[in-house]
Amino acid sequence: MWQLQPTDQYLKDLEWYGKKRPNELAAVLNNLGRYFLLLKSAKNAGCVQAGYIHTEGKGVLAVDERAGGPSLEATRLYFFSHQASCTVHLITIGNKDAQQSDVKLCHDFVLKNFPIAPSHA
Amino acid sequence: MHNNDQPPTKATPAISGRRYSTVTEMLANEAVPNEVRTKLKSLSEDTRIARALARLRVKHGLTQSEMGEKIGLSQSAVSKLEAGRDEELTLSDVRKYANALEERIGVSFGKPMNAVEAIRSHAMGMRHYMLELTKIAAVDAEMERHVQAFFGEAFFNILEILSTCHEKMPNGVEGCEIRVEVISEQRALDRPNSLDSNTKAPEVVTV
Repeated sequence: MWQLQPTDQYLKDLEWYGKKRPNELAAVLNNLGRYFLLLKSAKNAGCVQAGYIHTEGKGVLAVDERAGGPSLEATRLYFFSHQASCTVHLITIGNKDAQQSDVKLCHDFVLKNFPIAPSHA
Repeated sequence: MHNNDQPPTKATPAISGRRYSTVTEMLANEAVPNEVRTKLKSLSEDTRIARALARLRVKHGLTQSEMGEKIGLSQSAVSKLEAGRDEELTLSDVRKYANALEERIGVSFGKPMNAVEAIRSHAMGMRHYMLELTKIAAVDAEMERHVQAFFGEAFFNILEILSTCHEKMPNGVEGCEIRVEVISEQRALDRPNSLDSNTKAPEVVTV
């Protein structure tokens, strides 16, 4: 059964967004919940598609704030779904300005912890 | 020093020892304001049907393009429909999903039934459909046998449910004992008087 496993950075982001951007946080968490539900129903994690899911390379995926309501700042919650251990590693949450550095952070995380992992597919 | 309104500088993430089965469970155990939980609950309710449709598609192993072909929509239209809010869906969308996936989809609104109301409603439904079966049984003798067998099975299942509930009651139910026992073939053969030796042991119901 699939499980969610946060990183220490994700937990810090969760706290910051909870205080400073609660609406954006609720929106990305709602889409994470939707993704997680699909993942549990799917035979292959790589087959899960949705409009709010973005591929960021090296198996890293992100959900955005879509369907969260009007006037929300563009926000992404980054994660890596590891099929072999049925674990969704929640890596970080960030805004559009930090997208490039957040994606690099996620790539470093994946390369360090899953050097030969064929990503979620 | 960072701007208080901008996310703080990030460090290389390390895996924590915490594991959660759902997003709700994660929020219940982490430092998140109640405002976020309330907002998330509301968003979750606003996307319930869209989520269920997406889940049905994935359960059937279909991609959004394949689903689109079945219901006459483009992949991007399916994506938009499944990623949006329920208020953007039409009943026609729901019907198309049900027909294409050969599933029965029920949508109900308003106050949910409590347990007693739900049981009464199901009981009325069972009565209605069982009476329908008695009409089908009138077609011929073979059909009647099948319906009889089905009624026996239904009777056993209802007793089994009652027996389970009875066991779970804190102090039992005064003046009433329900016990459902399935006697295995071996146990039946150990009791030669109870069955003809050539007969396979039936399911025995003790009330």
